[in-house]
Amino acid sequence: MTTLQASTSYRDGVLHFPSSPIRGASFPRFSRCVIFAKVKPSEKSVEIMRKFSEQYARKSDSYFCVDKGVTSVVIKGLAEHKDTLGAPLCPCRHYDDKNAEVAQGFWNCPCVPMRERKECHCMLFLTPENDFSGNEQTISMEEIQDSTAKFEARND
Amino acid sequence: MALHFRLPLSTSHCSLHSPQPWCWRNRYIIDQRPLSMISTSQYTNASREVIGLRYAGRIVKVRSSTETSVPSVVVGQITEVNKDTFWPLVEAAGDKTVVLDMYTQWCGPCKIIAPKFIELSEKYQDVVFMKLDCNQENKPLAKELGIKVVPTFKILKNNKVVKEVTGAKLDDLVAAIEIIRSS
Repeated sequence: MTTLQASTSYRDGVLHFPSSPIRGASFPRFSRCVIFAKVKPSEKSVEIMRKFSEQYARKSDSYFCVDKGVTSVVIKGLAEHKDTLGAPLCPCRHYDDKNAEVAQGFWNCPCVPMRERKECHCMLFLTPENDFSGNEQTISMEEIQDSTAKFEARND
Repeated sequence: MALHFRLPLSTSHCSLHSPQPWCWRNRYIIDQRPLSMISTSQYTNASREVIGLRYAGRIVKVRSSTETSVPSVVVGQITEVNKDTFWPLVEAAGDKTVVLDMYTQWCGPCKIIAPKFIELSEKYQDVVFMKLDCNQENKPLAKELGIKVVPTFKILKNNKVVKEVTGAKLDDLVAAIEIIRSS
């Protein structure tokens, strides 16, 4: 029984399986197979965005969501964009061209609606009057890791 | 010798990219292993029929008992779709109302409304509920449907988008579903 030799590389959140012939065979190569995996941000970026979130919450007199899972997910989304784009682009929007949006800056966190009107669509920074607002302006790395693990487990 | 296989439509998070778009349209891929490597007991009703020449050599169409040729919609739960499976499933839904949750991996409000969306799918048994991860892979479909705010809910009927709800607004979503399903 022949076995397929494969080598993989991981680039930009995508696993690449380069085509590779079966040993001993003399027919055309298999075509490339690409699998898109769910991306996880680096711990360093998560820590940076965690500290930023705490600092900005204090500065803007806003509070984290009563469900810290929401806060955790958004922080991870900001971290993931920081890893891939170099800036924490809002993870609760869809973009045609993310690099252009980063350069333009409107949706870089803290976004313009938040800076001007304290409107955070992601529910990361909530004013005290908001129904979902908690009374905390801090969140630990452990809370972030635990909360996001729960969401990932639920979605699997 | 090359063989054609039919692939079932995928509803998983990941999907295989076929480099042969004409094969996907016909839901076939080319297996380029020699016939001698494949057990003939796996396949029934093999017929030698020339479908087209993609690579040098003959192409043979083979049917497998594990495949489905027509997508079937599911009610009472949420179906994860992608850019390849969405429109066939919408078409298969016929005149049923279809509600699509367009979300992203790291959107907080999406996580809040997700369990409520599941409850809606269990409550409205005459509505087809789907969800689409608006990642890089599904970008063409997300662009076609149109999305800026995440989450966005698209409500379709008879293959057309008839209503949209932007943001994790459960009340607005329920109201929209009620309007469309009673129309």
